[in-house]
Amino acid sequence: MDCGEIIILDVGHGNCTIIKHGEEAIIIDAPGRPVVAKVLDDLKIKSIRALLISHADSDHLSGAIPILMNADRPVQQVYVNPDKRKTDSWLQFRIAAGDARKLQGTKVYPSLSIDSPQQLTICGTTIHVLHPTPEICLATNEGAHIDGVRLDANSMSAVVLIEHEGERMCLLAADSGRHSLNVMMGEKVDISAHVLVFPHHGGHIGGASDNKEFAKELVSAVRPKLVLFSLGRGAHGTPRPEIVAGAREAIADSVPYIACTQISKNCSEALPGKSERPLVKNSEGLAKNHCCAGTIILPLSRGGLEGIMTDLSDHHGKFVASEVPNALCRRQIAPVIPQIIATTS
Amino acid sequence: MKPIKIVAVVDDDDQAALTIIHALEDGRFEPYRQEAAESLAALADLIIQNSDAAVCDHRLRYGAFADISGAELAAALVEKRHPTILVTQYLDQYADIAIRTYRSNLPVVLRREDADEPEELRAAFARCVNELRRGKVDDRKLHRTLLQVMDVSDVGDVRVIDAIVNGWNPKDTVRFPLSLVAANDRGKVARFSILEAFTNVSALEKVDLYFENVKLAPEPEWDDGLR
Repeated sequence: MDCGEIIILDVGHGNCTIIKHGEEAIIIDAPGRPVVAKVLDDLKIKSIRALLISHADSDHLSGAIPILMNADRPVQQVYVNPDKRKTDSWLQFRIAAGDARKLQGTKVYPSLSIDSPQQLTICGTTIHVLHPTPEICLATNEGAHIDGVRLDANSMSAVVLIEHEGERMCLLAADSGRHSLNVMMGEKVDISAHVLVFPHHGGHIGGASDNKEFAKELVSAVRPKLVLFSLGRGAHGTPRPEIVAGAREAIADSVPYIACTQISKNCSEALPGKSERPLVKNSEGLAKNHCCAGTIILPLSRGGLEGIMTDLSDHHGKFVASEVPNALCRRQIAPVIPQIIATTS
Repeated sequence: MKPIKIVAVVDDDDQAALTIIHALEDGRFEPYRQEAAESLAALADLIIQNSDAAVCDHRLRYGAFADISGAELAAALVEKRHPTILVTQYLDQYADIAIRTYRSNLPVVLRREDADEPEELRAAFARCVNELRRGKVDDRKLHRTLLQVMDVSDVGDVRVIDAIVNGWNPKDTVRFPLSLVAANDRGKVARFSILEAFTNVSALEKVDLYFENVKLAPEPEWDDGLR
């Protein structure tokens, strides 16, 4: 029986996560890159149970347009918060959403908050939205929160928890930042999860906030086994070194494994030679040899998480140790090096 | 569809034609140099009668081939289900206009340097036959999407559009001839117009993108709750 899987796609700079059960999927964010359509075709997805767009930045949204306009793979529900900036990509998203509503009967919900969707479950996998609150949505991305803080698209980014049969599998933090974390902590929201897809691709969190402190607080609260940065090589200087350091130093007794989808230029200006590695073929960085960990597939089966952690430290850990000696995650990987040496010898 | 043995080579450059013929011979095909005919239709009929497949150079300029575009001939052959590979020395330069006009019916376009290799030619025929049998799959599969027009201009005597393709790359524009837009809409296309089209958004390379059923998209609904 198909146990389902969470696919955290290497899309370059952007985010896209697919929860697959059989021929049905839930998609959270979709940037406009060829790999998004390709992976849905390759996975033989016939129907999209729900499409959640964390916020209306192009690197989370523009790939949703062909998904919505594909009559062969109807989208049942869309959840998104209106964007007041009137960007070109938002205008086109609205055209595509209208098209899907008329041609496929797609239900378009102009709200993505802790109260919407109320219940979204597929084969034992449940989506929980942990941020924003309805009050933040009502203020819109051009307004201010009741605490006086000005809101923008990033601070309204939805933070999504994927839970499978009681296990808090994965926290997708989109482009959320300091204010989002403060609001969640203030409301005592449990944001713990095994895997954290780090917000804003590991870039600046905005304002005068301290990147390192933010990373430490976030990772301390999530207590993940794996912190993943979804980034495009050479785009926007991600991940920031102080953010990776904060993530690494957050939990003294249990340092999470840190990985990036693509090799950051902050880790290696030059690309390593091509080597045989068991990378997922639907990784945006594959053709140009930009992959570090590439696309991550987390099986929703017993032992799936342990399996992926072993695979990562095996192929990604060895790769980084041998090919990217100045990697920002290097100090974290150091403990596995004696094992690698033992295995090699 | 017959197994490919006899291959027509359509190239007005003697040296270039010989190179392809030698590569085909190395690949155990039986190539021959196709002579010109009085029209594109007559040439296509001759090729279909005398061969199992064809290799056409895009840039036909000399002698009796002077009025024929290799891309148009190759597309006509593929439309008649005759496996055909288009070869061009200047893929990026021509892909935007001349080749993209016919790309829907051109499963495989090879750069000249790749057409020298027997294995490349064999693989190209296999891809072509696969598309003729199974339809457009993988990175040729069409997806319906929206295009944002960023510029409309004239290149030589051809009116062209530069547009962002949603689902392919939000930061790069793709050029194609205005003639691909539905006739009724052509006069209304301007900078920042939004078009809907079928295109192969999973193609990795810009040169491989092609467009079908291009027309103006509707305005968003005023009461969609997303304003």
